[in-house]
Amino acid sequence: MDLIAVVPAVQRRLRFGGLLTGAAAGLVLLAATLLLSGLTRIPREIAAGIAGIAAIGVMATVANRELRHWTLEAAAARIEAVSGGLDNLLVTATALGSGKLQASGGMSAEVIRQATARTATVRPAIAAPLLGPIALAFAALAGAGAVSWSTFSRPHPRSAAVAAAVPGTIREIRATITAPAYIARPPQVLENPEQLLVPEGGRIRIELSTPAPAAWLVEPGQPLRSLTAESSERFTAEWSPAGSSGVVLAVGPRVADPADTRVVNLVVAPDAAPRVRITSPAHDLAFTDSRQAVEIAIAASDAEALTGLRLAFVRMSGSGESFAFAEGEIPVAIEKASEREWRASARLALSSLKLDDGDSIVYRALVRDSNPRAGWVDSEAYTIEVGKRLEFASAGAALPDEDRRYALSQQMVIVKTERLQAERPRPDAAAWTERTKLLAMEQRMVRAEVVFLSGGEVEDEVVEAEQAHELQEGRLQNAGRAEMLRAINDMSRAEARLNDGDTTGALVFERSALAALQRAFDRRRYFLRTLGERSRIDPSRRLTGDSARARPAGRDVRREPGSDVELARQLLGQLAAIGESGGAPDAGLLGRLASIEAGADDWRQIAVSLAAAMTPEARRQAAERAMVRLSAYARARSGASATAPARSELQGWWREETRPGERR
Amino acid sequence: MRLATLLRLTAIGVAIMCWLDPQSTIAPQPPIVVDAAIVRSARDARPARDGSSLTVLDLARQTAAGLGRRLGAAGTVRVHEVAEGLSLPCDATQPCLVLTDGAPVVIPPDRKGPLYFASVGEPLTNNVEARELAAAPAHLDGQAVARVTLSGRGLQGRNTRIRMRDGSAIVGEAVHTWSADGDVTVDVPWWPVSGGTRQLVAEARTDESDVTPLDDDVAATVDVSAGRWPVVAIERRPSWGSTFIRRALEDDRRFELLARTDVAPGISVASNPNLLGARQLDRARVVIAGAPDALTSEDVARLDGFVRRRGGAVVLVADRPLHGPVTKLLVHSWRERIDPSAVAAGPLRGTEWLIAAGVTPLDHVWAEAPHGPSVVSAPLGAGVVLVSGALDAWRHRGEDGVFERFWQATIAALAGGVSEPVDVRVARGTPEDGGEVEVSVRARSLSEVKSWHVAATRTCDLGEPVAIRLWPGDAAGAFYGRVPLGTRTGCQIAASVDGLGQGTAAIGGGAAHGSSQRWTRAEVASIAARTSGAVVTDGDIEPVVRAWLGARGPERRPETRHPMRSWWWLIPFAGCLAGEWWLRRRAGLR
Repeated sequence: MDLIAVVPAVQRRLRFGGLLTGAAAGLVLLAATLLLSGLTRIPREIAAGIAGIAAIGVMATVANRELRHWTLEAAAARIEAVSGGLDNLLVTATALGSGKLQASGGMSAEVIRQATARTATVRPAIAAPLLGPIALAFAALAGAGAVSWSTFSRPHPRSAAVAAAVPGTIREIRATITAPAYIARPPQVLENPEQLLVPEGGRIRIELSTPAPAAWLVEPGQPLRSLTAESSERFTAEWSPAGSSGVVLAVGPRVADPADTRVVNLVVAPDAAPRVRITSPAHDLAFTDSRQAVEIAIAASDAEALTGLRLAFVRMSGSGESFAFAEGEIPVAIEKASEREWRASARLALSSLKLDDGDSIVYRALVRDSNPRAGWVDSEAYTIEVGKRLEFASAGAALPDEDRRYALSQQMVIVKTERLQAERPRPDAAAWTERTKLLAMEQRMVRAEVVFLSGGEVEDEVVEAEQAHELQEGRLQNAGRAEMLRAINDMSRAEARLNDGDTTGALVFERSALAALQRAFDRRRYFLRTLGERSRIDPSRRLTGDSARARPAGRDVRREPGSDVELARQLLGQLAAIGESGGAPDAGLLGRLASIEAGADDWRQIAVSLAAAMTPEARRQAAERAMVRLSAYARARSGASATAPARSELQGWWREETRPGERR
Repeated sequence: MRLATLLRLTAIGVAIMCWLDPQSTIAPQPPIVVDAAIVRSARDARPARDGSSLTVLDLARQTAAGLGRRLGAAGTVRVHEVAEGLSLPCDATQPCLVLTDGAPVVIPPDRKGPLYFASVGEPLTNNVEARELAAAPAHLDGQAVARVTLSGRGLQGRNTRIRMRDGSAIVGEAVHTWSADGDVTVDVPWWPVSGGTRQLVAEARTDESDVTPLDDDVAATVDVSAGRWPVVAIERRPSWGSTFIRRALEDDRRFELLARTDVAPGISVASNPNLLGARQLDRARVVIAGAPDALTSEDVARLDGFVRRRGGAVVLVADRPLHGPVTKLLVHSWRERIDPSAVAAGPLRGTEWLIAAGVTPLDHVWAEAPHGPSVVSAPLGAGVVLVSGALDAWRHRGEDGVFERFWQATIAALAGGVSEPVDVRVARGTPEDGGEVEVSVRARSLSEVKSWHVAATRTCDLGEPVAIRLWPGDAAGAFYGRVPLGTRTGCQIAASVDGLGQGTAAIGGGAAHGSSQRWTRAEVASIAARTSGAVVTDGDIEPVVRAWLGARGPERRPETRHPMRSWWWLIPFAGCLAGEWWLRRRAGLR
């Protein structure tokens, strides 16, 4: 090996060794960074990225430094240092060879010759050993690999890196919702839920994973309940919620000493009643004889499943004081589009009911769903009347014009009033008054007929007003009667104005009376309709109530301790304390906040933000936001207010002094 | 030696003049004595002007000192510093200059001298100043509305969030977006959290903050009733209008409703047949009269006394044109108007209206139909009368509850404004005001009382009650007393009147009762004009000085003076003798 060969060979080995050293340094840094990141809350992916970039940087820096350092001269110096006895010949020869040192040709040749001779026995592996750098690199690689495997082989819950490092935190919540038996639905499993929607009668199973030794839950108004420890770091609870609320799950070193809490909004959805309606003919009918048949179409639906559908009728026959009622059912053909959607049809042959002239029937559809505790639900009821008196009505037309003659009479009064009004300017005041009084007499006659139609004489309308509560409370069920009374009232006012010769004022009330009459007759069926589901008496609840809570009928306007506003007042007091001190909220407050308005998501957000606030200042701000929302909530449930002008006594006496036409 | 002789003669001359003691008489103008009152407030430390390092207080003191320099020998300035809300400490007859940035003081009623005002400081740019908080008495079961007046400059497009605080609880919030410089009034809905006398603080916080937070808060105390307000409803014949109003009130926890309806001659449906008796009316705050045209002369006389003497509120719910004895209670003239279809008057709808004519700024229009005001209240005596001319609004009330809410809010506002039968007020000052507070007790009753039995006590710091000596006031049932409080805090005055009940009043720590306000320029100008004073700025007090000097008049007081009766003459006397002696020794003489 000549001089040119041994020096570059050593240089290459030295440079390769430098590269291995750089790689080892980078890998050591990678491992150290990953180890340190485990002690912080930095996600491991981010930590790995940072460590990789740092390692590559160190590698590049060290390698660059080594490559620059190990020049040919440095390699020659290394050989001289290792070999000994070269007397600087190799360094000089390398310098001469690279042109950095100038000498005569003979001298250069002699130097190179002697250097070549003396380095004949030099081995590059001795001058630049690679075993050490290779071992170092492998050791670093093994260490980095072990640390990386350790870091990335841990389970991957989102907050595991944090939770594992902080004992006493909730790692995971798993909720299983089991619907009641009548709802054919598989159990629903939710992980880390913020809100649970539970069908009424369903059950909830909560599984909570935590390293803390105790776990419990708090429901507003309920005593604190411990969760059962099923295994190490796993607690469970199962119950059937009675109503919507906010449940606070808490863990800690012991019960009632929370180290971590979660708020879960619990919404209990009551079973919705099925819906049923008669889609055809969907209005009252009248026929002259009973040879007709009516095709009836019914549509029913339910959120879960329907289990039955019937079409029932009540037959009314007779007249005067001797009415007879008979109940029955009509067979229906059911077409099930799905468990939830049913359609049915029926043919009601009036001849089969043996209806006499003047008889009528009221029919309605009934449906029930799979909830065994729910009863039958009615559709709207319709009537069919049969009678000769209806012969002028076309088949299937909705009702008869006999009653409308009063409306027509009222219309005639209006026409006459309008004609009289058009004759203005009136030539003679006395003649004008005479004519308006005649018109008032006609109006009085029409009013008398309507009064008779409504069931009796109204002696005094002001006395009628005294019974106003009867109409008001039953207004929806008895709108027809209300309209009749309104018409009578308006006719009286029109009559009074006609007597005064005021045709303009009278027309306003005449038209109002006409409109009321027409509304009253259009709602004739209201007289026949049974009460709705809302008002029906449930026999199954007889003798099941708490007699201590029985109260006389009437409005209860007392301020109840458990009312929404009183609850808001209590919560506001607790929030004000947090707003002042910046202290941590307790679990009960969070739970009551989250459940203050079932179904409203913003309350849950408010509770979560309050629970998540870590610093006193953050808690103050969260408490202030909660107070603003809470005061708006309470205002909406408090009595209305208005701004009245501030007044002083002096204003009153001054106003009195300036009163028109009076000076004291 | 001539100089020595001259000095000797001078000394002899001084000695002779002192022995002779000549006298002279002059008639100079007397010096004026004026007061300058610097009004201190919590905003003293705010900058007086944009970019100035001087605070408002610094500038006020500087201005007062400049006033003394400017007057010189012509007069004396006595400078006082007085906390806002307290009585003006100036002499009752001498001119007084009030240096204030808007912080108010109480002007004593016996003041006769002219009042001058120097407005200290200027409105700051990029700054919001909370000027006034007005809060009407509220009820624990109702919402309330406070009115906050803000002043701002250079804030276009920025938002100011106004939060109402009761202690540390936030009870209401509103946001105002600035579109122009100047004063704005913002209605802030709030919700009472506790009964009694509460101190409300309105905090105005602006986006990106403003120049100084010192003027962002304004406070006022407000009474929150926890008990139910007695309301009497009477109908001399059944009336739909008042029936539906009565039902709306039955659902409201704020009211204790007592009703009576005469359904026929001699037959009535009533919780208490004698609802218009003096005892019932003394308790009541509002009387709702349905079918007012059917009221008898006796009824009207009782209602008249209820309004004028008791200070109550009467609501006349008309369902037909008003005539008969009730017209004695009417302040306006009313004309009937019929619409072919229903029209709206505020939240009410109807076709038949009574429209008021002659509405003045002292009246309040609650609902205005397209043809004119239809629901109007007017102050009358110590009370108020509200007339509803929405004759058939009950018929068009709908299902949305607007009709009910309107009447609940209206009756609540009226009831809140009526004081208790025994009305106790702290007439002047606070505990900081030298320790003495004037308390007035006003017993308002319809009964004829021949001898009053009134007792009052004050309780401070939850201690034992101490009796207050009361003196008869300016009217029957009016009494006043002075209470030395010193530095005591948390004081409450309680007064009881035999047969009428008792009333209380709390003495707050600075916030005004019901309204905390700062003087506006117009108010200051009005006070100055009433007292023959003037308004100037802190940088130009020359007009005030000129006015004071010019107001001295031609009066001159003759004065006898003895010019030689001064010790100063000893100096020239001794100097002359010493000089003469030294000159003689220099010349070699003895």
